[in-house]
Amino acid sequence: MSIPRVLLYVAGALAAAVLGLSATAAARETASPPKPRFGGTLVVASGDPGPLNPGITSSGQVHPVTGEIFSGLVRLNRHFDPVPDLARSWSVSKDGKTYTFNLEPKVRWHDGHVFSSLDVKFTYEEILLKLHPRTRTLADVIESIKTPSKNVVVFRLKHRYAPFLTWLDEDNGAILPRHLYQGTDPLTNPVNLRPIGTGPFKFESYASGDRVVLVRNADYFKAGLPRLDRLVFRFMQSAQAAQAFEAGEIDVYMFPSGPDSLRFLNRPGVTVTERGREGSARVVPLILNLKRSPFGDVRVRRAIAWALDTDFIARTAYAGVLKPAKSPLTRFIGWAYTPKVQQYSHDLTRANALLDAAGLRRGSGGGVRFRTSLIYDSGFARQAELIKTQLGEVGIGIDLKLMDMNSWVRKLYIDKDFDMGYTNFTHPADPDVGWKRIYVCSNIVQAPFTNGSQYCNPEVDRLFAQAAGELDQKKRGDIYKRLQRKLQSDLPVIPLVDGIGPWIFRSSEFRGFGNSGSKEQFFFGEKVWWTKGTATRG
Amino acid sequence: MRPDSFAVFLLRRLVSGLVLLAMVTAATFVLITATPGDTAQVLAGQAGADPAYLALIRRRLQLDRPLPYQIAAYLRQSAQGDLGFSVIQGRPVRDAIGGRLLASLLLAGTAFFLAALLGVTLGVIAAHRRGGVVDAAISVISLLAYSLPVFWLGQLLIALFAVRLHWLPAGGMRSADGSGGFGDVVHHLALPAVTLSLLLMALIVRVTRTAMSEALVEDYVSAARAKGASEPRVLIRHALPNALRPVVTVLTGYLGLILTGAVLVETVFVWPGLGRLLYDSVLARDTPVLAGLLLLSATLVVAANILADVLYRALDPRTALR
Repeated sequence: MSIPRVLLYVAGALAAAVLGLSATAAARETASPPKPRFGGTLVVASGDPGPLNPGITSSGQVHPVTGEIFSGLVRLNRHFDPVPDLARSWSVSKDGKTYTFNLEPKVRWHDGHVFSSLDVKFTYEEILLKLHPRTRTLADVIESIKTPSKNVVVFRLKHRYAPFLTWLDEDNGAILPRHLYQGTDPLTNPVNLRPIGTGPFKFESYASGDRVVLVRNADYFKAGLPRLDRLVFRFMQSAQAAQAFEAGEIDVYMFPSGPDSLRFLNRPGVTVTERGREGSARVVPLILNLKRSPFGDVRVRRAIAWALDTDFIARTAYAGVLKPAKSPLTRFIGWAYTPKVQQYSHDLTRANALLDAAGLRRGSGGGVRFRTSLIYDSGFARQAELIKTQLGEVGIGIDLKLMDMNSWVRKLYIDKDFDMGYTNFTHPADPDVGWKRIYVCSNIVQAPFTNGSQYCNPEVDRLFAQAAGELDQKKRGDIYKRLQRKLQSDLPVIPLVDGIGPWIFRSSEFRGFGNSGSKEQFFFGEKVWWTKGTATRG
Repeated sequence: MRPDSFAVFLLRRLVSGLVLLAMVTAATFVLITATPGDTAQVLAGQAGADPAYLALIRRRLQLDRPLPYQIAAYLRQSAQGDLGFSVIQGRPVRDAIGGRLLASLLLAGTAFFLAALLGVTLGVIAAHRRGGVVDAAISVISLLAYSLPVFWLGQLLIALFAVRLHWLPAGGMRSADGSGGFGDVVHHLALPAVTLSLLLMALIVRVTRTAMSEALVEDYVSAARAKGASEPRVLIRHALPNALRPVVTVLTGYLGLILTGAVLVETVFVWPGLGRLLYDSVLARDTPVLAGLLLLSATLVVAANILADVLYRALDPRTALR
């Protein structure tokens, strides 16, 4: 065994014990908050984002910064329901195909220009539907965008599309200033390095490799907000962020590793919580190449599922921060999720029987049934070792192939040159947005993060299409539950763990985290406040 | 080569240097293209972009052009001083590199100065006290400094001086409050500069000690001592200049690499220099910036070699006769 199992059990048990307290920590943070104060500088560890144009990328390094500068038409609350942002209200026609948005009337861009419905129309037609890697798929949904008045914008859809509103937040639908982008190439426009938005913070400076500094937008359209004076994003990697947090040099540590999450848990004055990051919920699956023998045989796929000990993988490789997956869909999309699907608890007898039945018998002396390989990057190193050990127990020999992320993406998604692989698939807000892409026939393409297993089932495609057009959430949820049962039976990918991963902040000095929405890592600056600030805005 | 042909020699070195730079640039393009992933894929993030999107971005960035065309276009424009535009950085490559150059020069220059000063001083002392306790202590220190991985040593120094003692910052070049004055920058520079200098210092100690040990048994040293010269004068005026040639070789050999070679130290200490830019550009498959950085690095290596030749002549005029 490559990792001493006893040690891992002990570490896992400790992890599970301490993480159980995270909810308590979060509760302490959010229970009857005192009156917010004003002023102060919040320092956040982040990656170097590059161009600050949220309309042309879905990069996880860009949006935590641009989410403070720009706004979408809506935001998603902690239950993924749309709430007003630039759109103060909206209505949907009876046929479900026309969405009319009433915009906030007194919004100005950070350079003083007046915001209007023309900005919305321009952003969608010229940038988001052409260049945003995710939102451009809406070009197949949106028929027209009309601007009957300065403060009203009307989207007409080609067909009913239930998740439409969940696409309209800053992450997927940041509204950009028409007066600065019209007639330019959005990829190279210099404004990308000194962005002008409508959000709570204005851009002040960007030192490449070092930091982005934002300052309070005194004319923000939401009265009394933001409370902080400045936001500083300092660029560093995870290990450096942990040390900088220890040394008191940063206040928010956005994407901590499992061990770091444990390290800061129960630290006085520090809060470790998943609240506010529900939109980043993910299921990590083991992806099998169904075009390669023997993974085309469902008995082999089920045998692998029976042989894997996902409890153990969650406790050890993820330090208990993520939980064993009980369904192909994340449990955080509650209205669509069901754990009432086939469960594959760790059972070597069943796994061996299925492999025997598939004709993959052990050689004499209990040898290897077949050899295969697993490709992965450094983020999956411990998991890969565990999978190799666990599948070795039922006679599946695995060659581990560690590679850098770009190489692994190419092998898995572009060339399809792999046996087994993995991916962190986030399921943001709606199953149609992040989950469907793993399974539908039309997504077997040469592009990253698509249907790598090459599973194609017309019945599954039909159910996904039916769900997208169903406006009744209860009925929609039922369709997705049917899909989960079907997919957990077919097992084109084997769900390993499900969860979010916490973020860490210095709650002794800053309050107001974790209550505003499911993608709060993109706009926490709006409501966070400094405990040492002034009682009134000076 | 006759002494008066130095200008011809320099010209030949410059021309061969330019050819070498063109070859390095072409090789850079070939290597980057052979590596999986490209700018379009990085821009897409983990969104699962469709092939049409990737094709659109590649067409706009001319990544779909044949490789020889890309190389020729790059060589043509870089010869005119235009290093291209980085979509990943959102700015011209010249600005992307220029924005990091000062930080790198500050870190590398300080580390270089520390390494040379301490390395030569300790090397001279070790040679002078050869076989004694001081020599042994310096040998152990230099061996340790040479052996310790910089990323490990860096983490250790941060844990001690930043996390535990709170004497020095854990990383960055300026404080979060944006003061960024001279004292603030020096405060941030201390740990990364010391860490970066240690390996080079250890190397210089070893080289200086060996060269000085050989010089100190030469006849001219005995003659100097016989004339009644003081020991410091014997060491510094007589032995050291003759022992410096191998030290110059080591120093100039590192000069070309030190700007972009501080990847680990810059990453550990979050220093906004060219080393981290190089690392980030590799991950982002940012071909224009990578090509620009490798061109800069190769230029420095070529320049350092020419500088070494010039310094050899200054230190030992006999080399001009060979």
